[in-house]
Order: sequence, then structure tokens, then C-alpha cells
Amino acid sequence: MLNLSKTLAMRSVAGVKYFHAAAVQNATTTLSMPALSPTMTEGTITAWKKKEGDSVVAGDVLLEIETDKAGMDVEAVEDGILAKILFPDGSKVAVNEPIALLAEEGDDLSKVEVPKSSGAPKAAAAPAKEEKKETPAPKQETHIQQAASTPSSKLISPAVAHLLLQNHISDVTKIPSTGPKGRVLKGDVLAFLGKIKARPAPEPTIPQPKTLPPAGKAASPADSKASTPAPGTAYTDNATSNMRKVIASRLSESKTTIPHSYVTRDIVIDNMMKLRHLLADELQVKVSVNDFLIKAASLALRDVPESNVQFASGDNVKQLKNIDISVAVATPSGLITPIVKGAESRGLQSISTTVKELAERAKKNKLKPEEYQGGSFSVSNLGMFGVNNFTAIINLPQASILAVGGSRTILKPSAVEETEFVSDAEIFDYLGGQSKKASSAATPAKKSNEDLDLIDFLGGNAPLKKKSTSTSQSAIGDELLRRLRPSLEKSQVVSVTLSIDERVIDSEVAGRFLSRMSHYVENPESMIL
Amino acid sequence: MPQDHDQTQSLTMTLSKDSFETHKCDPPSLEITVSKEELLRMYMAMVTMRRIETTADTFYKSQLIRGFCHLCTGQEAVGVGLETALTQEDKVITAYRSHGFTYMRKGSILPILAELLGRKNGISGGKGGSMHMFTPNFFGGNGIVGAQVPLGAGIAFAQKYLGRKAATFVFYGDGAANQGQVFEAFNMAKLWGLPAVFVCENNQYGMGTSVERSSASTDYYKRGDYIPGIKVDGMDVLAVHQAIAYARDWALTENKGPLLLEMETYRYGGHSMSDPGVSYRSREEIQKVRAENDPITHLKERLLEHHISTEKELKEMDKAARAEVDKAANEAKESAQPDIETFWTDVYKEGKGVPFLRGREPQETHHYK
Repeated sequence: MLNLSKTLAMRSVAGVKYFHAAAVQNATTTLSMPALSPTMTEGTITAWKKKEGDSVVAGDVLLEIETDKAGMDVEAVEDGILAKILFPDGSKVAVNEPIALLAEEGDDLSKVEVPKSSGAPKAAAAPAKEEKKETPAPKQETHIQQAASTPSSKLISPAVAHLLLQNHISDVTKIPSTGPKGRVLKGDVLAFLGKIKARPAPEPTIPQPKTLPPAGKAASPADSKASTPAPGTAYTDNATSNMRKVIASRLSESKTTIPHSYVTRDIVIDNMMKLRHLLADELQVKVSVNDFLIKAASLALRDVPESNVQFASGDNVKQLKNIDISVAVATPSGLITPIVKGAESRGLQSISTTVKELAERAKKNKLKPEEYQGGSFSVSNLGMFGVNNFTAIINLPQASILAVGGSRTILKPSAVEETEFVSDAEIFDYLGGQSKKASSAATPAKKSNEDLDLIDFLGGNAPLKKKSTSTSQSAIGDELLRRLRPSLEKSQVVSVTLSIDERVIDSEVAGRFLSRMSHYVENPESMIL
Repeated sequence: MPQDHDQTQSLTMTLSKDSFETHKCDPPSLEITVSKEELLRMYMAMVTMRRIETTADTFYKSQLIRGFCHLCTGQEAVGVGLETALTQEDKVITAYRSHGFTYMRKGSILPILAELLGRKNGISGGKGGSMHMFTPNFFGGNGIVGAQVPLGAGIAFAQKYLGRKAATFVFYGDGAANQGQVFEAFNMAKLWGLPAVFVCENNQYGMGTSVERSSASTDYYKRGDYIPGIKVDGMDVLAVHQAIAYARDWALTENKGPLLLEMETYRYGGHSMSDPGVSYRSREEIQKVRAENDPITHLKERLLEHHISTEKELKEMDKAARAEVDKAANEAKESAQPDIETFWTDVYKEGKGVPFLRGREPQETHHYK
């Protein structure tokens, strides 16, 4: 409480009410539209709080004005009488334009002259009037924080408290709240007063990653009105769907709270592709590259159990028993990850069918919660778009996610069969030279026709070609040919990037996991074990 | 106006019992002897001060004054009570709510208003603005919160060092009272027995924070701890006068060291012109203080009670004050802007400066002749 009020009691006013201090008006004073901020150029008169002829005291609110930024009360600086109002409620007036005349107590109001104003008033549409309840504030509130207590949530922000006080709302529970935990927000108060449109109540908080509303309820956006673009603007605002909102919050949480780390590996898929074609051709079984990768990943998780973990609250590491792989599926409303449960014990066909079926239902938003909540590991494949590689964000509460790129052809050195070591000197001699280092025991090797052609090509002196068509037996010749012929061959690889939660999965573990996974993919027959 | 009393006649009045509260010292006497002329001068000064502030308010709202503008409407008693108890040799330093102090310390109305409008004939040449007004023996006008307190201690140190018989009054607010350097200044002042009087102008709100929310101890007069303190009713100009006179004597007494005063006062306006002043307190509270505790009203009551003046005479004084300020205001509005050459002066002492100075942009360089 104010200490000043202590001394108040001791003052005697001698029974006579004196006028308040400060200078009294000489003649009429002009009240002009004040600038509420340095950049304000005009304001709207929301409401006059005093009528013509009313007495005013310094500090009384004469009127309320509004700009596009804020609304404010204009106080009288001195005592006097509001002699004349020059612009009525709702007028838009430029800053410094006279809006009223104030006279001294006792002045003849009929003699008040209206000054010539420089601009015509622009009457704006009548703004929403606030409730002007004249009930005084319940008690002498000296500090805002003592105003209105709320039963639903104890917290009201200073902005809300100020609005409540200003509009004489004593019961905050009257106001429908849309804030977290039922808190009343400033927008709620403004909506209650009719100044802005009320915002729809928020969806209840969702604890699971990327949950959809329960099965049956379409995930169509609740507030899906796209604002029509004003002519000339280059964009439209589309209200976000529920799913998008959840994705946004979950992924933000994941990216900001999990220390992500990324490990990349190229996996050679030649053998896998061969097997895949074999299955398709011989057995008419269609499995995709992704199915193979899912299977391989699940087996790698089995082999490297340290990678099948989750970070649990309280700094615990949860060792998972099951190997359930979440597979990223793109749907019109967003990305969702239905789960293939127990992938390590399923055959490729089973995995393939399951993935297809889940994807189809996902696209129709018909997944049950248990079909997309949980999972130990996710796989996301952008290969069909030609993406080389990418990094994915981990889906909470998992601890890793595999981002699969598209297959691409590379050239690699071909597999070299072991040959006897042939020295350069021997090759030199073979070509007709005489090297000093040639072993004495070496006899000039028998040259095949191809050898002879080659020697001719190289400008050497080939002995007359024999007509025989025996294949080259010459080791030197083979070596020579090997060294000279192109020794690269094509290969197909896929680049995979594993994002890991470094709190529970070390990069070393990630390396081992990828190593095992590559082993299975590059040697697909090992997957049947 | 015919007077029915002698202007030079002295009057003894009794201050209210609640005027002072003390900490480690005796209170000033509640009996104050003051001449009628002095009282009327006090009244005129307060009314003029208020008129200056309301003029500044109007100017600001018409965008003639820009930037910072902190008004002391409601706190007039402190500035007036201070000056009437001081001599010209005493030093005063305060923070940015300084227009009233500037006026009292012989900065006249036109230079003050012209300074606010940024004109050539302003008290700082139009280059200082609201927060940088100075007069001989008034050291401003300081923008950084609480920075003026160590400066004030330094000024007091200079007085002692140079053997001058002058007390230094160092003002700061309730918001600045929790600043660390204030206590450092206290320590040095007490340690070296400086003739300093620290005055906390407690207007209950530090910007938008009430004293209860900002300070663990709102007894600012006790915060000096080893420095004795007195809390003064800052809305009663005579109580302020009495306390300042007492403090001045104290400070100038050998070996008594510094004294701490707390002026309990109130500002009607916001912290500055950017602050409406009603978002952290209710309008009812402001109006209540205006109605029941206004310093000008108090003095007016006193004057009428003791038949020193009449209602009519006081009204005339109000009008005269208003006319004087309005005249100065109009003159200030017509005044010229500073010359562009003055942009480069007052940076370094004449002849001790640099050969050239960079302006607002790299291309803008001024070479001194």
C-alpha cells in the first residue's frame, strides 16, 4: 500500500473543498489530437468520455483514441470545462488537428470560438464500443496484480489484468479461455469484448509422435479456410491441419532436444538386385529395394543390440526387445510412419505385403494408433526421387532413423584374380627388350596370337604370328593385358545415412550397425539364416 | 492586490507529525519559521514548474519534442523545497527527471523549453535535450540510471578537497536505489567524511515496477546502513525545505559525514512520455493522490489557512505563471535550429582535440581548422 496514504489521514482540509492546483485556464485552450507514438500520423476517436459542458479535473480521461497500433486514453492536463467537441466518436483525425476546446470554470461557453481546422474530418466506421459499466473498481486497487483472480488457472498476464481493470471486468471466469491449461489470454479478453474474432479452442495436447485423431475421424483440418489472397499478393495462407501441427511440434522438439549425429555409408546392391530380379523372374515375387533394406536393418539391429535402444526420461537408456521398424510413408496430409512389427523374423514377402498394406491405409488415414505409435527404428526412402542422400530427423521417442537415397551407378576397380607376380623386367623382355634383370632361368614365354598382336600394336617386333588359335597361356601376357585393358566395372550403390541420438547410440555403434547392414545387403543369401 | 499582511513577516508553522522518520539520527524540528514572501515564492515556483511540465507534455504530444522526456508532475515540492534551503554554492546532481531542478537552479524557462525543442538558444545549445540540462552548480541531467550517484560523491569530494563550504545534494530514484555503485558511493562518502547528502526521490514506481516488487527493503532511508537517514514527506514543500536545511547543516558540520534522505513523493505521469503510466497502476490511484495529496494544493491550503493569501490572489499567480510559461513556449517554438557547425563542437576541449572527426556515416568527416 502507498505510504502516502498514511500521511493522508493527518491532513485536514478544513471542511472546504479547494480546487485542484495547477494553473487555471485563461481563455479557451485547444485540445489537439496527440501523437501516441513518434510515428503516428492520425488517430481515430474511439469514444469521448466527457460531454460538452462537463467539468474536468487534471488527470481525468477526456477521450479514448486509437491508432492502427494501439489504443490510449487522453487525459486532461488541467482543470476546466470541456467546452466544445469538434469531432464526434468515430472520426479519424490527423495528429495536431484540434479536436476539442477547453474553457475555464466560469467562462461563458456560448462565446467559445471554434478555431478553423485545416482538414475535414474523416468519419471512420463506428468502432466496436466497449462495455461502459460505471461500476467503480471493487476496491482501491493500487497494484494490478491484485485484480481478478482466476479459478481455472492462477496466472493472468499483466496485459490481461490491465484490460480487465480498464473494462471493469471483475470476474475473469466469464471469459472463455483458449490458453494452455485454461489460461485466459489477452486475445480472449479482446474477443470477449468483441474487438477481435475469437480463436477456436486448441486441440488437446498429444503426447505421442505424429498421432492422428482416433481411427474414423478424418484428419481434415478443423480450421481449414485458406484466406483468399488480396489482389496482387503472391501467396495464400493455408490453415494447418492437425497432423501438420503435430509434425511441426514433434519434429521441432526432436531436432532441438536430441543431439543428432550422422553416419553415412554406401551399400553395394548388385547382389541384392540380382536376387530381386531372380525372385521376380523365377518366383513371380515382387519385393522392393526398400523391403530388402528393412530386412537387413532389422537383422543388423539384432546383431548390434546397442543400436536397438531408446532414450527414456530420467536419463535412462531403454534396451528394446522387439525389433519394430517404422517405415516412412508420404500421405497427402503429411509424413507418417506405420510400423512393421518383428521385422527380423519376417520373410521378405511378409515385409513387402505389410508395408504395402500399411501404406495404403495410411494414405486413407485409416491407421490405428498402435500401428504408427512406437517402433524402435525408422526407415525413410527418397530414392524414387533421385535423391543421392539426405539426413532425416529422428522421430521421438526413437533413437535413430535411416535415410535411404536412390541407387546410382558407380565405377569401381574390377575384381582382380590373383596372378603370379610378374615383374616389369619380364614384361619388358617379353616385349622384345633385353633387360639386365631378367632371370636367367626364364625362357621367353610362349606368346599367344593376342600377345603378338599387342606387341605389334605397341611397336615391337613380333615374331611371325602363328596360325593357331590357342588361348593365351602366358602369365606375362595376361598380366600385361590386365594392366593395359580398362579394369573398371560398373556397380550399383545406395547411400544410406543413419541419424543417431548421441545420448544413447555412439557413432561407433552406428558404424557397426551399418557394417552389419551392408553385410546383409551385399550378401543377401545371409539373410535367410 | 492589496495585502493585509506584511510580506517579510515571518511565520512559524508546525509540520505534521508524520513528516519525518529517522534512522540513526535525530529528526529536524517540526517547527518551521518562514517568511510570507518565501511561501509565495514557493507557490509560484511550484505552479510554474508544473506549467513547464504540462507544456512539455503538450509539445511532446504534438511531436515537437522527440526522444526521451521524463516529467516531474507531482514531484514539484522536492525541487522547490530543495532550492529554497540551499545557497548558490551548493551543488546538485540528479538523473533524467531534471526539468524541475534545472528551473530551480536558475535555468530559466525559455532555455529549458528551447532545449527540449532542440533549438539554438536551449540551455545546452539544443544538443542535449531533456536529459542533459546543466547550470553552474547543477550537474544535470544524467541518462544512465544511478550513474550520477558516484559522480555526486565525487563532486562532494572535490568540495572537501578544495576546502569549499558547499554541500552536494545527490539525487536518485527508488529504481536506482538498488544499483551497486550507489552503495559504493555510500561507502566512500562515509569513509572519507564527504559533505554529501544523498536524496532518494521515491515516487513509488521505478518505471513500471512498484517499490514492493523491486526492493527487498523499501525503507530507502535506512539503506545507507551506517549513514544516518531521514524519510521526508515529499509532498509537503515545507517538510522538504526543513529536511534539506537540516541536511545541509549536517553535511557541512565537520566529521559528521554524509546523510541520506528519502523523499516520499509521487508522479502523476508515466515514467516518460512513452509510458501512459496506467498499465502498472490504476487511474483511480493517480486521481486519489491528485485529489488528496497534491503538493501545490497542500501549500495552497496552508496559505489560505494562515491568511497569507487569498483564493483570488493565488488564482492570479496561477495565471501569471501560465502566461509566463506560455510566452516562453511560443518564443521557443519560434527559435532557430542550431547551426550545423555546432554538430562538431563540444566533443573535445578547444584546442585539445583531434584533427578530424567522423560523423554519422563513414563519408561524413569533419576536419577541424
